[in-house]
Amino acid sequence: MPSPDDLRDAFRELRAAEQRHVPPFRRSMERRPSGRRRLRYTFAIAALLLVVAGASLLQRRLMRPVVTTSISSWKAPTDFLLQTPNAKLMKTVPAFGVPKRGTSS
Amino acid sequence: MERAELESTLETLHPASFGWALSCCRRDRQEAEEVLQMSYLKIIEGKARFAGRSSFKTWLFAVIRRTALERFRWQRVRRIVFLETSPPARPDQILESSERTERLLRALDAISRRQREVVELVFYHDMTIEEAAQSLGISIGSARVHYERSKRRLLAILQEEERIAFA
Repeated sequence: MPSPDDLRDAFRELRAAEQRHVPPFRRSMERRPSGRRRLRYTFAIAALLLVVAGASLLQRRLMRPVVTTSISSWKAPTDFLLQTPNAKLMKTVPAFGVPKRGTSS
Repeated sequence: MERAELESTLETLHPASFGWALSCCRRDRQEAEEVLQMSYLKIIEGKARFAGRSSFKTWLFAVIRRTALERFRWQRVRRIVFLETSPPARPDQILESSERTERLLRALDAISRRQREVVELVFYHDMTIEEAAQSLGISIGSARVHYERSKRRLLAILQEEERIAFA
């Protein structure tokens, strides 16, 4: 069964193995062209384009003529659902003895 | 600190710093080198300043850890924005690694990041729990709890691995 001392030894072994391949200090101190910096510029340009596109969309929306409708002339778009077939029959009173239009008697 | 003095201190601590960078980058050698270089530049350019509130090594390790975390966050954002797939893990290939080292690395992979950090600072870098807590920016009590739990968990995993190996 491993003990804490075994753990310490295992870490010591790991350290010894890794420390054999440490890159030279000078290499770590050299400034290399950073991919991050390049990416930062790409992001900045993308953000700028987004802002410009957003502003132009907003401007187009603001420029659109505003159509105002008075409340009396407004019709609900679902009005047609209330119109049943032969609705006229429901709104008129049938008359008896009155000849139909187009008949002779 | 003068630049020459700073560079000389960094050079002295370079092997330990590289070991810690490897740990912060889940043993990805290339990543560790990048993180270490970025950390050194931060220090040399004065973006990270040593205020003397802890030992230089403790502070340097905190800078390396923070830089690694920033880099991972940045990579995650980049992957989301550019719809990149996550790169395959490139763990450091230690040619002369023993069976015990490999078992330890597997066990370290199985515990949480915080636990791994505490236990590596104590066992690998010979720090006290207090120094480890300072490097990680956590309380001593919290570091002690992580240390005890990680030690217990590592021993249990290693014992299980040994049992399987000898079965």
